[in-house]
Amino acid sequence: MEPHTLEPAGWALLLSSWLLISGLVLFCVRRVLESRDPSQED
Amino acid sequence: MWGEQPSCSPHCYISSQGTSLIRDRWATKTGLILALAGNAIGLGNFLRFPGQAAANGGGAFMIPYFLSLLLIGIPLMWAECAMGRYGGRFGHGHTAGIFHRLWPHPISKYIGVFGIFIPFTVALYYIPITSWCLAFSWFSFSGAYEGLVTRAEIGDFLKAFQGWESNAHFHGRGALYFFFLLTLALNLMILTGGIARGIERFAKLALPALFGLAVVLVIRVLTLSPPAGAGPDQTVLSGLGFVWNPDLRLLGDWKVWMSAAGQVFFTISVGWGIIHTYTSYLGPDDDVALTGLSTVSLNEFAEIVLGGTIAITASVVFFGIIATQDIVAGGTFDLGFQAMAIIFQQLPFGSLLGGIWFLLLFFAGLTSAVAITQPAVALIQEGFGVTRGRAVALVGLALLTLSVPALWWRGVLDELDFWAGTFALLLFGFAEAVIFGWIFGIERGWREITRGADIRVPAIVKPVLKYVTPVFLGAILLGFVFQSLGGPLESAPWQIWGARGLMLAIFIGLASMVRVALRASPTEDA
Repeated sequence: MEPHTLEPAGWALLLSSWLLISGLVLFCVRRVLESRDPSQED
Repeated sequence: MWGEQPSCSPHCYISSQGTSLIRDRWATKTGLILALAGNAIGLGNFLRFPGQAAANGGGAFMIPYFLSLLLIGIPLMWAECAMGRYGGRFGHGHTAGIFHRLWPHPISKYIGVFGIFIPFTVALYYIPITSWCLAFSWFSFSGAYEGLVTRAEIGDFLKAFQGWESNAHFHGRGALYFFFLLTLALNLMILTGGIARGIERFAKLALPALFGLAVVLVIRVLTLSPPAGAGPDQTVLSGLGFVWNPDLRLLGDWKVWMSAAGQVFFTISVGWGIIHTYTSYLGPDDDVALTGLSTVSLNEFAEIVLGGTIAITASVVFFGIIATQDIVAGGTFDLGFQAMAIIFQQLPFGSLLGGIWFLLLFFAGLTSAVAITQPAVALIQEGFGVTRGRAVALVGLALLTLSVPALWWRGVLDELDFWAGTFALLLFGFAEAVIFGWIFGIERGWREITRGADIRVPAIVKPVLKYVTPVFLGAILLGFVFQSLGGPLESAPWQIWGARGLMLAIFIGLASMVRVALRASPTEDA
């Protein structure tokens, strides 16, 4: 059976994957902005 | 050893002449993350992933995919970052030196040679492919392939450009070499700038540009209308359904699990030796945990959100599901260079959109090309105490000379990709997981990962790295050996044997250089 449209299960997996990854990116961006840069001192 | 200290500060290394040379450093954490993400995000994110998902259960593929990300991808990324930073304390920017420090055994540095051999050998064909993206971006902007609207016509255009045949479009390899030399020169120019002023500055420009171009294309693809006379299946939702509708029955097929694990392994670019090299330019107490996680998350955003939306969806809208299955089966070049070139011609401002698509692939390719060239530069620069400019020039000359077979002989590119870009990669990934978890020791490894960490690394990662990651990688390697190794070892034309001889010569050459470089290093027996 060929898919004719995005089925509810497909929507659920697409949206949950996108939300998961976007959430991870936002978490990392926030923590990177709060963190220190690599040390430059000897 | 915990008690071991390099013979000069972490900011320097000792050249073969015994002089103290300053090592490059990353200027900012953002710069390092973007450079690592630039290394990981390549053509595969936009071309390989959606095809793999569609062929392996659609949305159901994401279940083993995310599991593999947790069990292989993120732990191995952390391990590689930790190994790199550890080796950097001793002035080693390549895996041969780093592995020698992790495991003081004569064989360890030769295992580490794989981390220089793989990226260098892949660069022999990856830089030419990157240059094709630049060329096709120019061809699209300038309308050079305008009017070629079937896959056969675009295929003839591509073949003539590559020099495999002569037709109305191209005679000889002049255009091919022009774009190859331009891409190689850009690559070498970036590397000559060094870590902070070259690679980091470039990554800070290229990655935002790459994401910006991709977002433009995602918006355009999601607002596509079916062409005149299109079938009922040729819609955006049908395209997304082709990638995402789950076939849960396939979760019982071990090949789907192996494909997911393989895709995760390849997409985040572990097992290359590049992450070790990049993180060797960190200070001993700089964070690697947040850096590694951020790199993975950016790569996954590019792959799942952007890559999973553009090419296949557009292909289904314009060609339908049956033709798209055929295109996907034809490989990434059919999808990326032929199908997409045709699709964009059908749209208003098609030359511009096509140019943006190939420019996106070019940026994805060039950030990776820079990364795969750097380990060889590090070996020559740090191992033989020569200036960065000279090391880059030497590596550039070697790339220019040794890429000739990939450009001139049919089948060589695939042969290099099979042995160096797939088999050696899996072998090296498995070896490093064992060395890190079992020989260097998971306790010391854990302390390395968590030292200076800007996030809390879950304790479960420790047993995962020791037991699960090596087993998972070993299973992928065994699966690959049983599934793929028989055919290529059968009879082959002389060009293929030439490619195999070339790879052997490169490995022996690098191993000899490593032997000399590490013998000359006063920190050898520190």
